[in-house]
Amino acid sequence: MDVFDVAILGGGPAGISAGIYAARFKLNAVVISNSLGGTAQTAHLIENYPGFGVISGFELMQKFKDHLKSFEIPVIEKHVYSASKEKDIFTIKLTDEEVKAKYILIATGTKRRKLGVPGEAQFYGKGVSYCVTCDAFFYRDKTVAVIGGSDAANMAAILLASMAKKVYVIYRKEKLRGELVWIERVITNRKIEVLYNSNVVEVMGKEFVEGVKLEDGRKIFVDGVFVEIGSIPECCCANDLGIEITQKGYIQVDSSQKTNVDGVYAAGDVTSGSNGFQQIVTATSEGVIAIKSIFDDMERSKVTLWKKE
Amino acid sequence: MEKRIKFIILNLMIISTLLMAGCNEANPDKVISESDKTEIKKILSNNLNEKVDILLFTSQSRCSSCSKTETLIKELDGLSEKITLKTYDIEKNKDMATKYNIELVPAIVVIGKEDYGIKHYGFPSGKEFNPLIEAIIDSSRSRPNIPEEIEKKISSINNPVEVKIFVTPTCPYCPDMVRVANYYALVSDEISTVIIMSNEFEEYSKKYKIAAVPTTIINDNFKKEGKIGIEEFVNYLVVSS
Repeated sequence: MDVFDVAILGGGPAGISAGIYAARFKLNAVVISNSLGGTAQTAHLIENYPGFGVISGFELMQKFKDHLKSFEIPVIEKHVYSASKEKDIFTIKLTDEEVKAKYILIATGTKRRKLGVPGEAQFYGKGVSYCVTCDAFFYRDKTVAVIGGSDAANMAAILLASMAKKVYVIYRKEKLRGELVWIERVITNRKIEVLYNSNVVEVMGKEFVEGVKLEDGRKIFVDGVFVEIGSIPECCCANDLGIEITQKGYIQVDSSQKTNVDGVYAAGDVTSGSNGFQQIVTATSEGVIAIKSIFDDMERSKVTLWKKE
Repeated sequence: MEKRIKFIILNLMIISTLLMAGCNEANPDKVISESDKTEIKKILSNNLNEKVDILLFTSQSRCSSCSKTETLIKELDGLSEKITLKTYDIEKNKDMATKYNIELVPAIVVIGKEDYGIKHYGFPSGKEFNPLIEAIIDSSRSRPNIPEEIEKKISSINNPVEVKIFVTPTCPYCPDMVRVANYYALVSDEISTVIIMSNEFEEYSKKYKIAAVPTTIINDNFKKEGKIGIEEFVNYLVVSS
């Protein structure tokens, strides 16, 4: 079995930019991801990635993928189950095969945070949704609720307001947060009503969603509930390899994107990097820095070996 | 390993400008832009092996997207000599509509080297355009080889299995689900797929109680929302057959 120089785990902005730079550094690299394009492709509109003006997440990530595939770098579209290290070689277990590599770069991103309230799981696909670009069509002239108050929630509310009759934004804090451009669009949209200081404690319904119950006892009657309350890191293989994790659950990296384990680097939303500012532009940068660090480390190893001889 | 190669090949095909709105703003009478035509022509030329028939079922009386779908498929037809378009009005060609069990229009049936059983209802816009191109290319080829473990499971399916995938043009997870379903249609005689654009067929979607995409329905009795992995999917096929 071939031993790759580096196995890049994850196919979002960080993983793809890492793959592109790995190819240009002539590293023998592989990208492993069961969702090439990552969660960025679900973004309705991206208005802050330099050079593209306004572009949908799907289109931007198609361009990323297109760029990656212009290089001869293998892409394995499978789930990573575990990783182990023996004699400086990592073994990564996938669904039905193993990949070996000298370095691994974890760029597995985040997964959607769930409300964790009664009714949420029961009504998934029956009114509860985590993908506004997928399911907004089903709520034409209906009433919906968006749970959350950050950029993703604000964007979701704006998209839904273009189709739905009425949109409630239900947020636990007293002010929406995120980019002021989005906040302004939400609070000036006549179809959107923001319910501040409000916590959803139950999703109600019979066969389909009929409403949500708030902590103060109020019931808001809606046909659909879009959950946009952020994400949690997918620290793939962190326990297997003894990787240091921050209190909030992110992989701790230094300024070279290195973790506490030799040979393991991490980049993108899964890490503590970029001062915790999770953006496509910061993720792509971290992926690139990680590859440069790996490349430098490999070069240093060669020098050491030569001196020993 | 075969799967991996197949997915790499499939993913090589990316059309730069997607047909998001279903119209070509520079020329309203056309659907595909000139730059996309050049790209698609190259992809078809490099990848189509055998001839492919595209059967397009339309209706003059009750179809809002038949006209633009016909324009699109005619434009595709013009991009490769290996593609042959056959158009049928379902009122005038009831025998053909019955033969291919056409429930909705527009319907696109792709028949390549063999009839692998791949059908698409609605205007294939947005993110659903690439999977259609991929289905056309795959249909022009022989059935793919599959890993032994999956082969064993597939060979236990001895009854027809129809997989319906409900999608929308703006759903980023849907194309992958369509690819998974079409893969099994390609490897097994018993499995067929029907892709339904939920945004166009609201009543049909209501009939199946669809409120999220992708939603997969197997033999009208098994239903699952969200993306299903290629290994997990085969288990649902076996259980539902």
